[in-house]
Amino acid sequence: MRTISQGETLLFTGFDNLSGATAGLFREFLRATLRPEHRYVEVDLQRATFMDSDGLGAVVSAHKALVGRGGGVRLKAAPPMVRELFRVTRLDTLVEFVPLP
Amino acid sequence: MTLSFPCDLAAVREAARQLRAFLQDQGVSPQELDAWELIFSEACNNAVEHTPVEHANTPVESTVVVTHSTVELQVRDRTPGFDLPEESPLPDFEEEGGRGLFLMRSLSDQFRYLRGRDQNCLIVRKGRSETADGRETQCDSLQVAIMESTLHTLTEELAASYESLSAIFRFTAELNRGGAGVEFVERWLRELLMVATADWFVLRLTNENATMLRVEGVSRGDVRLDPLDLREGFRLESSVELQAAIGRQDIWFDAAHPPVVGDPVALFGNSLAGFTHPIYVNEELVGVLAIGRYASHQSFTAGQVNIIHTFADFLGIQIRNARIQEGYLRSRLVTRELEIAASIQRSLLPERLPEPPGFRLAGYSESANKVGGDFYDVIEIANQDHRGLLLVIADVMGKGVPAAMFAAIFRSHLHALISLAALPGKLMAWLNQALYPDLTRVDMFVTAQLIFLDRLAGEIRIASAGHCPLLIADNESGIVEVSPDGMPLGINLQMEFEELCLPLPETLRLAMLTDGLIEARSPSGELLGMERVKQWMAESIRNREPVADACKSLVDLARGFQEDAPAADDLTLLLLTRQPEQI
Repeated sequence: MRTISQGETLLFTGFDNLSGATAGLFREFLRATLRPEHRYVEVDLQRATFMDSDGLGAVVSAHKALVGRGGGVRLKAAPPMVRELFRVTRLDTLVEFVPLP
Repeated sequence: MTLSFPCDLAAVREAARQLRAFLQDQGVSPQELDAWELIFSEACNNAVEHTPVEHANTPVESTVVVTHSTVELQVRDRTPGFDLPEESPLPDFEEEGGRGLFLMRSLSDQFRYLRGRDQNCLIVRKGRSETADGRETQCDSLQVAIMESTLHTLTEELAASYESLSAIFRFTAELNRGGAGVEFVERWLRELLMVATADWFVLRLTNENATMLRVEGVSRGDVRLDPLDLREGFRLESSVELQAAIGRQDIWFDAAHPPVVGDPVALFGNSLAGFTHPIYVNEELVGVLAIGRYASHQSFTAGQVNIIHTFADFLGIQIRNARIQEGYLRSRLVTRELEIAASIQRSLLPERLPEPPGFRLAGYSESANKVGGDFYDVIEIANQDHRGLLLVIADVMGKGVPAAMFAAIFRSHLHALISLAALPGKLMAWLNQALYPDLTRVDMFVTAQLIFLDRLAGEIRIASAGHCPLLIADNESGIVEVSPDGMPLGINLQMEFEELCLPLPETLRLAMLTDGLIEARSPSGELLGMERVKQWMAESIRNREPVADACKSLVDLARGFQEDAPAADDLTLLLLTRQPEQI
């Protein structure tokens, strides 16, 4: 997993799942690399095949970190399973789903 | 397939991949593969995150069993175990954790957590959807149709029974928490409407002495229903509800036999089908349920009637139990309240009365209803200005806990103002002012009597607040009734109390009484009266009764007079004798 700072957006990429093991990593990266000028957190899910409730918690923590900045969390190229997960847990309005360009 | 992997989150990920591969081999559909991968992750993450340090090296074990219709997953953990809540609601938006249980539950059909001594086992089961290649059985199409129709009816009946049973179980759990309140009844009956596909209901319950049937719940707010009188037998034909209640059987109505004009049930509509069902519990009528549809040709099926009976009878039992409980609780509460009050009252009375040289005292107090507002006390005063005895007797008008409480308040005010003991008239006025606000607030008043025997000055000073007269006897004057002026405490804020002053003789008998003694009633209704008490005193003096015996003989007089008539009021008295000191 790694993060890339792109102006107003902090991009998370390079992981194939957001779950128990990797959720902790996600939070640490967020804490270490989120800067005041970042208004969006983008999570690249192109290669992700799995997400569980710990992953959901990590996304929620990113959302909370961005409160008041006028931005939010974007999930890029989320597979159907991930979209379904967000829908079932009623978190689908918390984030923005962005398809691959 | 059995998986065993180290107790850490990365290993869970790897194991989840293996599980998915296995299930895919078994032909499980792709959506279900996603679901199982998620279920497995959540379950194992939980196990890993909560395993205590001492078991951190023990691998997590998991078994998955696949049949053609179900997949079952077992995860064994060595955590202290957790309490599986009945429901797993979705946590708030902002919550970062807590969704695991919700997800597992919503993705599975069966979810159980077995707790053992040193390990626990989570069992999750989910049915499988059709696999890609189904198989058609060869059957005669008519036979199939018949079978299907029979099956349909059977499953309907079964489903209906299941519905009732599950509703009963659900509601029972709720009842244990709350009881059969109005809200419960309405919900229970709305559930019945759904299960029996009915349109409306009226539930009536009997009142306390089973003379009326009052409406307890109705499905529509716009129908106005008056109570039905069970005693009016002549009105039977105009009410199917009364017919059911009194005839103790179901009464049906439909297009052929509609409810007559004037029957409350007819208020629901012109075209009705349904029936009224009396609810009896142990030979006792609890109420009547009327239930029906807005289509007079659609009577209830046998299965639906069964359900309705079950629901109604179950409700009847709950209501009756609730009523019994209520009555029981109420009487227990009352008893408990009286016990408390009685112990308050007992604690107010003095354990031992002082015995200054030459003076002997005896007191008695018994309340009519186990709790009363009578109070007496004797306080020895010895300071630089005064030496003597203050005698107090008081009667709070009322019964039970409030009276006992005011007796306690009276006593504490008295002790607070004790510096005024030598001046009973003034003390009484201060007591009145102190107690006035509280007494007025609860509309009560107190009668009281204060006597200060001033040994230095050789005087008796007496003040009275609406209390019955006291009796004084000495060698010269015989027995005299004394009653200084003064209204009861709590009537007027500013009150003055007359203070009567008499010489303190060497030989003296005092009797402080209460209304309860003087107004003790015989079975024929006669009052004991002051005259009889005076006669008793004369005889007591003649017999030279020591004060303790005199007390007993006076109480015996009153009790003997009452015979077995119930005591209407508390009986309290305080006696004093003074003899010249033996040298």
